[in-house]
Amino acid sequence: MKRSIWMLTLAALVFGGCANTQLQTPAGFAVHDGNETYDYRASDGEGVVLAVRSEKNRMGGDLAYWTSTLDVELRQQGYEARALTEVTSADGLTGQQIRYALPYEGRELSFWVTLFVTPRQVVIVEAGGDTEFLSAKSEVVEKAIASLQVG
Amino acid sequence: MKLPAQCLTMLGLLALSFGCAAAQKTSAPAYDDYAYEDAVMGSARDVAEKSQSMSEAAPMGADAMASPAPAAAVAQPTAVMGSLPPRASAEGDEAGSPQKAIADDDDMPTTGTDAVDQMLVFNGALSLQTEHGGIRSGIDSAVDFAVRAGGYIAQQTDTSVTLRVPSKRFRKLMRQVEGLGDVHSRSVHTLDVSEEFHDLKVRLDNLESTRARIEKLLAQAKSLSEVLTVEKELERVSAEIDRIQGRMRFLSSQAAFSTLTIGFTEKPAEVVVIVEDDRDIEPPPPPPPPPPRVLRSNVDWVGDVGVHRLMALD
Repeated sequence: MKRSIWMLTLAALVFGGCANTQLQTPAGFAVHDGNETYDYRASDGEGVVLAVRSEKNRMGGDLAYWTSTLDVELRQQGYEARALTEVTSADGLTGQQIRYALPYEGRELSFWVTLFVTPRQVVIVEAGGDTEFLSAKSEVVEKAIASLQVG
Repeated sequence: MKLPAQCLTMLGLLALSFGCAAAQKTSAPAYDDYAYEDAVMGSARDVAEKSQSMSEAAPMGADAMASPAPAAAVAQPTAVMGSLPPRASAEGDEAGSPQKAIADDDDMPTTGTDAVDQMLVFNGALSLQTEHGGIRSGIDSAVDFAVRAGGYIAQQTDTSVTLRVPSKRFRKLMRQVEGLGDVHSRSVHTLDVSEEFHDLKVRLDNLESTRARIEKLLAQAKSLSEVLTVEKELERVSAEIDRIQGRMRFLSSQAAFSTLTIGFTEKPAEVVVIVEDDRDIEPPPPPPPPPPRVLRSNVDWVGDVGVHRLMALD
């Protein structure tokens, strides 16, 4: 019985796609709990949100595949890509970051998508908010993303 | 003693009357006998009254006269015909042709060679449009032309000038002035005063003959009343001579100098109008190509990534 519990726990960790995708919460941000979509989500008082999700790499795509797939999807939704940069996680994994802009009710929203891909999972780090506020906090947000442990 | 003197006066007036009639028969039969015939038959006072009525009738008589023979009976007013070329002498037509005389004087004559017997008064008017701000310089140039042609300014305003130039240079001046701008209108009015001038000349000759006879009669006058009567008549004839001479001088002046009135306007300030040339307009950019057909991912979470989902409070 005890052995079965350990096996189930191990299976859940392996097949459930859960990973230790945590990053350091920037100063001025608070972590939101209890969300099914995101493994981690935090925001500041001005609505700048930083979140991490992990998905299974079911198709075995590499970083280029998932980057382009996600880029096509966002462009079709009206996002305008502004920059593509290479980033490195805290544990040394190379990822790609695309920064988008999206007009919204006379304002502009910024949305940063950072992808890290391993053979088993796709880790997506999302940061977004009003462009004015996110630009003011870009440095702390970039540091938080760089602190990610993809695992 | 008194009677013979009156008879002498009567005889003198009678002779004068016959003399006048004889002199006028060639040209002015209406200016004739009855007044002086009455004078012969009447008293000295009657002579004066009839002479006065004769002077009033004289212009009518002159107007009614047939045109005098220009060459034989009346001296040609060539001296006052400033606009006319010198008339060729009868014997020297081959040597000094009128055309040659014109060419020597002016390369752009105002009158033709057939107009030598005419006294013409030219009045021209020009309407010119100059460049913006060019009215003043245009007037100055026109005045310069006139002065060089021997003319002068008759009248000048801010936008017009009236020039008087020797008639023989009228046409040349007009051509020069036309070059100062765009000609909007031009007109030339010519007044032929030849007939009036010739009439005046005939009347002048007759009156001068009359005056000579009166002067002779005055010398023969014996009494004071005769002297006064004859002097009064002499004064009247002299005044008429002066009036005719004045009128002839005026006509001569008018014919010698012609008048050109120039009105100036200016073009409005230049306005740059940019007319777009269709050839210079770049064609509108072609519409963006439709988005490429792509394979949408069937991975659920891909469609779930976005800033709105991220910023939702759930």
